[in-house]
Amino acid sequence: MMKIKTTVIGSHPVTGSGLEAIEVAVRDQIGAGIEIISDGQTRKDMIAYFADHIPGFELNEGRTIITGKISPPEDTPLVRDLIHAKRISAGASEVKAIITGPVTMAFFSELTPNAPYSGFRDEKLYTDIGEALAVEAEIIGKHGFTTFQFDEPSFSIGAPMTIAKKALEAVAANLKGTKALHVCGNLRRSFQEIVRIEGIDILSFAFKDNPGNFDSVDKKAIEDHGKKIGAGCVSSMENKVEERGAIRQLLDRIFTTYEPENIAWIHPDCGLRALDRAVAVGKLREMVRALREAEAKVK
Amino acid sequence: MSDDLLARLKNALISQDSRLALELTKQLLGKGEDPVRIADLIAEGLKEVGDLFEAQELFLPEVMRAANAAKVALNLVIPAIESRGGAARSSKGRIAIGSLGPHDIGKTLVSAMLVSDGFDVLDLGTSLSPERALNAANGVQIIGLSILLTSDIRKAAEIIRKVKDNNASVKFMVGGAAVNEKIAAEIGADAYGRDAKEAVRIAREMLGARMPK
Repeated sequence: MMKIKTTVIGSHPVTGSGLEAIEVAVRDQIGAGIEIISDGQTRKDMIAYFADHIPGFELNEGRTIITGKISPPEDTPLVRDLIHAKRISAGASEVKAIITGPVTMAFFSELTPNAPYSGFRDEKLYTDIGEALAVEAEIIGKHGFTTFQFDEPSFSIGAPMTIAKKALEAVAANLKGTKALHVCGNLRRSFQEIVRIEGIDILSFAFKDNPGNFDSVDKKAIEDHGKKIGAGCVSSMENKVEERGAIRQLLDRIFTTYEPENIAWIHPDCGLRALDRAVAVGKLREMVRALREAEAKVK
Repeated sequence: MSDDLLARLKNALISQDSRLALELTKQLLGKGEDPVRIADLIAEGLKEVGDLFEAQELFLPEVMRAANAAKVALNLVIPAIESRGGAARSSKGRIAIGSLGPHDIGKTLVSAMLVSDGFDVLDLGTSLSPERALNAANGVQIIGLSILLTSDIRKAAEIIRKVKDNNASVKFMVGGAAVNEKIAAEIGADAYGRDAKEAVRIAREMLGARMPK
């Protein structure tokens, strides 16, 4: 059986600020036994993280606005955070780079008339964001990071999937390493298109708070398109640590439905920033233990 | 002529053109069109926008742009109705609505739909603080919270608790991508609305407002 790795989706409860907050997030994740950690995404929300340095975006009183042509950044502050996380980790866990996808960057931004895009159906908008994010990812890759996760929560609320597919494929095309796509929420509308996105190895979905995804995520389609699953198995909304038995039960259902060979990662349904720190750590710890118990049973 | 302008205004909403919506509303009011008729047409346009979203023919940011266009138009129409003494359009109740996060996807649409349905709406803006909600609570019957990010759930719970501690009669309805019925109940909200149309229905039920024929 392929080794299933434990990971997080990204955000961790913020303790302190700057590099100190990253250090706390990293130590919490490693302490809980997570094998692929994040830097905790402690600085900003998932849009501002990129909008604050990608030309064409502007931040104004907490809002992200597209004011001009979006073009690739010369550098990314993300690298500094990732390097810090890697240093703290000291080889105990791998550090994953998390990048907000082109559609979510567009959908959560305001489009001004000054920007050279006709609207949210303008393919160029997504192509330009995709090109900027591709450079962002390339810079990160050059610093030795080999696991990438693209976040596209917008895919579950209705998105221009044909354009989205092209934009995301362009971001992933020249990137070396493992590439995952995380889409939280209900996949009823979008799974059949998501599974066709090329250049993505792992599709990460929420199963705890969205059990309907068992009906949408089709094992055969996953296998036919050569994907693996990242399975969300603890809630990112409920501020209470799940019983290990309940997580085991969900893992059993995931293994029965998709077979362990098709599962690459298990993780929380989404980021954990909203939770109490002790709860977040407790969830991660119980998730790791539940997986090890479930694996032992399968063997 | 006026009917043509009304039809163009509705199309301006659906095509999310705020500038055109503003211009057409000015023209309609300038020609003496009944502002209640304009408000009803805006509500019709927004309903069509909601239907197009449900049918996956519009994306969420497009819905938001359409809602913004509606708000721009309503900013002219509502004072025109009020300046007539409110006789033509009595308020169904007072509602404050705010977004917990920096983004106002959803809030704008819900706000415009509520106004169109005959509620007085106090827009509390984005990044709502407990203090701002407390200040607003004394003048309203319902507070609506838009919760888009999971990171805002706890803040929403804090707002609900503080306001209810201070004024138990205020009802809370919540919505947004980060919440569902279960979370809404856990944080102490009185109701959860899946979309703007449901928010209007909930507000009507909470205030016992008469349903339209």
